[in-house]
Amino acid sequence: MLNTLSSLISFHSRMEDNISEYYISLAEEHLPDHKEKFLGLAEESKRFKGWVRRAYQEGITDAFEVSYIKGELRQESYLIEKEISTEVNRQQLIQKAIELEGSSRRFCLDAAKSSGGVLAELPHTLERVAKRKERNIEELKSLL
Amino acid sequence: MVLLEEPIKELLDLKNYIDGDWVESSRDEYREVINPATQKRIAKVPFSGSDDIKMAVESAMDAFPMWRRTPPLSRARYFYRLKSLLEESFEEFGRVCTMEHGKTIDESRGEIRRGIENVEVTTGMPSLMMGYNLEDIAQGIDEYVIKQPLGVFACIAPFNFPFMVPLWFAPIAIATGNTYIIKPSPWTPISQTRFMELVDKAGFPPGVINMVHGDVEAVESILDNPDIQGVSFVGSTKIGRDVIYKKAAAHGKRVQAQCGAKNFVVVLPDANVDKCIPTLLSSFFGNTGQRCLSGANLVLPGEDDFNREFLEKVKTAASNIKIGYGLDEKTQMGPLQAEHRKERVLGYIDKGIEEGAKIFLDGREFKVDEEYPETCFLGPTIFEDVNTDMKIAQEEIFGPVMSVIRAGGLDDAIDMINKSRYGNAASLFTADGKAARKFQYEVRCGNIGINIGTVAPMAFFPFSGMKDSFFGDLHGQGRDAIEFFTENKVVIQRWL
Repeated sequence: MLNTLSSLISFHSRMEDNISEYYISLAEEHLPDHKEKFLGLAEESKRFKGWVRRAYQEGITDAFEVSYIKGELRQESYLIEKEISTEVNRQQLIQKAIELEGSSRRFCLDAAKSSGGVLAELPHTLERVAKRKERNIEELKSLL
Repeated sequence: MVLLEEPIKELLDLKNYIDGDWVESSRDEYREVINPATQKRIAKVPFSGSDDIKMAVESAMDAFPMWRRTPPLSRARYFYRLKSLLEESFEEFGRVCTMEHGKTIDESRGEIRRGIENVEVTTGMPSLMMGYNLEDIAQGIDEYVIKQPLGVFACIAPFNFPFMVPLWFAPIAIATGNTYIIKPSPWTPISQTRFMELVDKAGFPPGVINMVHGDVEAVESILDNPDIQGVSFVGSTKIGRDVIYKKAAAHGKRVQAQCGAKNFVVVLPDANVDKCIPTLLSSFFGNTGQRCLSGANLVLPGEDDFNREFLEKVKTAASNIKIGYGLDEKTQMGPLQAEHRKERVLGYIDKGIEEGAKIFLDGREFKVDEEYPETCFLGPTIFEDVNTDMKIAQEEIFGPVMSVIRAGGLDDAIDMINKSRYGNAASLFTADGKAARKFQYEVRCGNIGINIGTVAPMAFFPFSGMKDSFFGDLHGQGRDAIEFFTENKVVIQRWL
């Protein structure tokens, strides 16, 4: 259950870490022909994590409705496994990357809505990340 | 349940920080610092005596001549360094604050951010403490005002914002050229001790900033010491008015005593209810109600239908508040800071029932997860059918208790607020600009919120307060603070 700002931010960090690790394994092991692309996407995930954490840390105050986000998000709705089973083909690997980005994009938009009444910069940053992920999804689709 | 890692892993033996050194207290008397959520001992803090205060004052006095001659820009640069160090340790400070106070990790991080903002404002001191002048007040004669520091100042800090509150005062005092002594609360002394470690690392010269732990004797020594020019205090009205203000003034000291509160929050029927409710929860129950800005009395001047529906929504939202250990990220409200504080709140709940108020949500029925002792935990309580003659509507409870009072209209609500002996904060929720203007114009409280539930002024504004909520002339933070910590020296100059 994600019912506080802290839990939203921690979950987002874990999510971006998982995505980054997935891309690194694609780059170094499974799809080395697109190594540069996937390493770039891995790096970008780390950057997203930094953006969101900074928006939270630098925006949070002791006064402005810190803990009470609107509603709760269920983290099971966004479960993302970075593990790759042994017999997957190229198509499936890229499809999984698309699903990971899609799930993460959905989380960012839902989290932006939940934190909307709380910190001004945080929803804006989450929406910015969601937009970037939309672009990533299109780029990944072109690799199929 | 996943807990964030606790940064305090063994019992800390806290010392004083005087003249750039960590020193043992002269007295062999200590108190244990207890994590209110787990009831585990996390530190022992000394109860320093008058000798320790005297030592700190002597150190600060020795450092003053050199420090006041240090250019303001150079003084500001220490604070730039301190700000960087604080950012690096941001998360650690947050978790320490949660462990010693009990507040949630979000609340702790919010407190740390606010404290750092005070340091940030200080880096602008070269501009902020400029004076002013006028040429030719008479032919060939110029007149100007320069702001000068006065010497040694001190603050007596409360338990509820252990990191932030000393930073309302100390950075501005020091950046304007004074030297300083912080006396943290003996209940929550760890974050200030850690702060001093960073002060030391930032390289502030010895004696410029000192910290002495203690309780009553340390406070009295500060008030009695003739070399301390001024005192800043945050705490109860009883102590602030009857001890701090009176004694400090009797000794010719400057005083700013930010004291108790009983804050009214008025919700008009045209308010945006969906956005209002999370704000109200934070206002009434944030920091477990242990703040001078907490909402205490919810005033509803609307029709019965609106009020009833609104209250049901508030109750539903409050019922769902998750209480627990603040390092559990799911926790939305932590424990009260100590057992005796919970007992005090329970006493007021009993009082409310005795006075005839109806208990609409009973915080005593909330349960915390089994692995935590119940000692300091208490859920949110809502009373209905409260009137302003009741003690629960008049006296500061300092816990998670909301008293709902019906009013005949906005005028009636404003009248109620103005009759209160306290004047710390008041809020109005409305979409009507005319009502908002009337409210801010007529209400006799220092901090006014319009669609804001917790009216905490930013570091560059004064933290206001009126009536029994403030004693003194100049408030903490902002331009008030610069005036408090300096004297205006007027120079009239002619060259013959």
